Amino acid sequence: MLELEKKVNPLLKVDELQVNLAKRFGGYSVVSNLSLSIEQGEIVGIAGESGCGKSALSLAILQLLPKGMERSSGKVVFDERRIDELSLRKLQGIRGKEISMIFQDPMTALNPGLKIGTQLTETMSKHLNLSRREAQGRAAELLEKVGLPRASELLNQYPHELSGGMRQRVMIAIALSCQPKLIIADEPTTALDVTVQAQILQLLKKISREEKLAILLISHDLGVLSQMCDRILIMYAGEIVEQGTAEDVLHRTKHPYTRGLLSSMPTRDKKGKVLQTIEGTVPPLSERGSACAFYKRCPVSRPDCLQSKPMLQEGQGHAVRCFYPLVKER
Amino acid sequence: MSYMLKRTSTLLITFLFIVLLAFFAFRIIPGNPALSILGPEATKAQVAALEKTLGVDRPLGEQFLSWFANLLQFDFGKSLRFGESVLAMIMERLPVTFSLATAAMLITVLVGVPLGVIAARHRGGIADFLISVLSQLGLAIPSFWSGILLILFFGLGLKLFQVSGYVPWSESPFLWMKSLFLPSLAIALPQIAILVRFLRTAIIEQMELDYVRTAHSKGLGERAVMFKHVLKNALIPAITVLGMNYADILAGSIVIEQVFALPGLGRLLINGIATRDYVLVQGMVFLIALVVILVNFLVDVSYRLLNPKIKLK
Amino acid sequence: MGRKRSINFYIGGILAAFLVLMFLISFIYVPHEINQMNVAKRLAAPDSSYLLGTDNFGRDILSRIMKGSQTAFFVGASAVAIGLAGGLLIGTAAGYLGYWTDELLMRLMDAILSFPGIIFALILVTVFKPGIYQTVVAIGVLSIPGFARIVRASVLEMKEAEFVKAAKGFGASHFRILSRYIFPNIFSSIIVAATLSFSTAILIEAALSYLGLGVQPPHPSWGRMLSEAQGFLQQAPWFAITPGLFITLLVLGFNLLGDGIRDVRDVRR
Repeated sequence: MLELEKKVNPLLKVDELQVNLAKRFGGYSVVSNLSLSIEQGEIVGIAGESGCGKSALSLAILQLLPKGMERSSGKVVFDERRIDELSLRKLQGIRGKEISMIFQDPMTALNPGLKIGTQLTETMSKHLNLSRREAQGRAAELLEKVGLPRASELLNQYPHELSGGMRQRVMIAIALSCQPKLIIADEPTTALDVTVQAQILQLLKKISREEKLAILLISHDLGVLSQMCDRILIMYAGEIVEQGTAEDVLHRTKHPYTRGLLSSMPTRDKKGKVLQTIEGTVPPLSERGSACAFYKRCPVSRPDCLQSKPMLQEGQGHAVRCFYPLVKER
Repeated sequence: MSYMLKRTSTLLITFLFIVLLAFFAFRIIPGNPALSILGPEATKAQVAALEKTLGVDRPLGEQFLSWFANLLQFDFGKSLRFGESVLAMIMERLPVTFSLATAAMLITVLVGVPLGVIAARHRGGIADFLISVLSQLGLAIPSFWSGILLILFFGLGLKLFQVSGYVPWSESPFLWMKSLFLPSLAIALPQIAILVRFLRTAIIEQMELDYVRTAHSKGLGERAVMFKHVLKNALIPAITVLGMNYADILAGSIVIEQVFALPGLGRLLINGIATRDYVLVQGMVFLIALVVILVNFLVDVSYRLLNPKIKLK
Repeated sequence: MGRKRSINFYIGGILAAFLVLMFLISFIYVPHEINQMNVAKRLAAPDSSYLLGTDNFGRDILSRIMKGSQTAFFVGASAVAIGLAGGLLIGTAAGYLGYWTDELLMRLMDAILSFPGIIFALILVTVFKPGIYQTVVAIGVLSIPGFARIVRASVLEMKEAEFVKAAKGFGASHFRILSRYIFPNIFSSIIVAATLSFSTAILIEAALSYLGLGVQPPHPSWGRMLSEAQGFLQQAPWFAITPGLFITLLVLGFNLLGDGIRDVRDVRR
């Protein structure tokens, strides 16, 4: 009974989301009729090369798309409420409180002219109606939670006085400050050193498990996602081309693109061998037509792949968008 | 470090340059200064006596040094025309010019900042266009003409303000403000235009930065984002502009004091120049140079202080 | 967006053209002799004969405005010319010769720039008795730093450019390098700076003349006309409005023109 309930009421459900460039830039599709769902406490990853639309997707959920893009259709349901049609004021009540975002570059994502403390407490002041003292107390607690000691010192410092890893921890602290149910993390570790990357990811995973916090983790690095995610979605040219549990996607790969991504990851067992790459590049927005978008770069494509667009075929929770999905096990 | 050195050296050179210019300008005038002051009917004895007082019989270098030495002791000499101590005359008129400049500065900031914010917020829209048009006009209209127009309209037409003269604070604070309102408005108009243009650009630049998106993602409203985040960062470089504004305001008050017949330093300077009272003019130019240098210096220091990235240790 | 930019250019161009036209016509024809006093018709309102009315001596305002444009353009153009010449000289010397020359000259330029223009002009004008040539020289000197900066920047850029090194390689003289390669590239920046310098010159001249320390009679000057007009504000408001209006239009025209040229050039880049 509980299993069914869980499936029926996901925390976040995106339905046929369509994001286009503004008309003056050509109106091209950036995200095409994309659907996904995230359960409470689940860590879902989205992988893809740059240009596949994963960032646009993450921004569209909270309506933070830049001026050149717009969400033209689709539904976003969060906690059984439609948040895509909310008034700005109500949406602001959700941002930072129930859904928080973490961005890629903590140096530019934080305001260089404001103290860390201010940037931490302002969210809490707004959403939780705390007094200044209460907010500062909580801020210190949060900093400790994300692994930053000497909180009181830190609160009075400016972003440029911290290292990259510390800044990202601060961003995480800000994201956690009002106890959200979902965190959308757009390439949170890409701008960091490798050693720091692992720490940040560990931190996120730990918090997710402890607080039953759902995370939508976006990265071009499948290695990162493989460590963290319960489920993984692979995006290409604005569409999901494969999705399923991490196990399914990584080890029972069905889509040639996913296979290509995996092969091109430098891992220990490939030491000494030539690293494979996927030839070609992501097709520009203007060239995405009505056939399989991966055709040109696909090593196993056949002429009839050009006939029409493949749809997402699901089988036991593992879906793929391909006419001739791979069947061999890795 | 080398930046401060550069700036200080520039300021010092400016200062020296102006001071030397002021001093030697009158000494290079062809003809006898004493003669031109006393007029052609003066007797030889009178001319000689004045020459002695002026010290023009001594070598130029000596004259300069003794003048400068006196200056440092706050002795600006005696006005040729009025016979009074130059310093006393300056101090008498200082409050007028100072109030005028301060009022103009206040108007500039109080009107300029909101307009800049509005223009940036409604970028490309009607409000922005109108503000842009007004800015262009503000820059093109000569301040003395806007002063005259203000007199025409508000003074004579609507009879709301007096058309000339100054009422000291001690007499009546309300009338004091009234007597300063139109003149400071006339001075402020071009400065508002400059500030608005700068601020608009600065705000727009800030709004393109990533931290604004983060702020929105935290659920902060438009007002909070603009005032707590963007404006704070945009105002820091605006300080430099305000510094320039202040120098321009001082310059503007020279002309405006003529328009509104205010007994300030500007008028004193013009009178001094017209009557070739060069002792007076020298002293005043020295003072003006000093003020400009000080303002520039203060602007530099406060910019560095306010910018968290380069706080002076 | 593109449309808005060229609006500056067109409006500025039209205003400037209108005033240039008036300037040119004034050499051949003015409705009345500018110094002819008509005591009977002092401070008269505009009518069919005196299109902009008469001043306190009964002189035709329109004619005086037209002749005044000659003063304005003369002072403006000469000041820009002096500024340009001086700026070219100093900027080239600073950029080409470098080190101490550069430092010294640029500090001097900064010194002139950091001082409000009118104060500087006042000081300079008092050295010699006020008059039109003195005004021109004073404002001209004020304009030099603006041009010097641009020239210096371009010279520095070009010094390092490949094709200049190549030219040096086959023995081109300094002068040839300068005239053939460096100067043509800074043309548009100079034009923009010239229009803005022109506007500033007009405003400073007007202010000086208003104060009685600029252009002297019999040369008509819009600034001086305004100071004359101030005494008769109630009787003849048009007398005070007209000269100021023309100053504004001239300055506005050239400002917009300069902005417009800058916009067009930026788009190209």
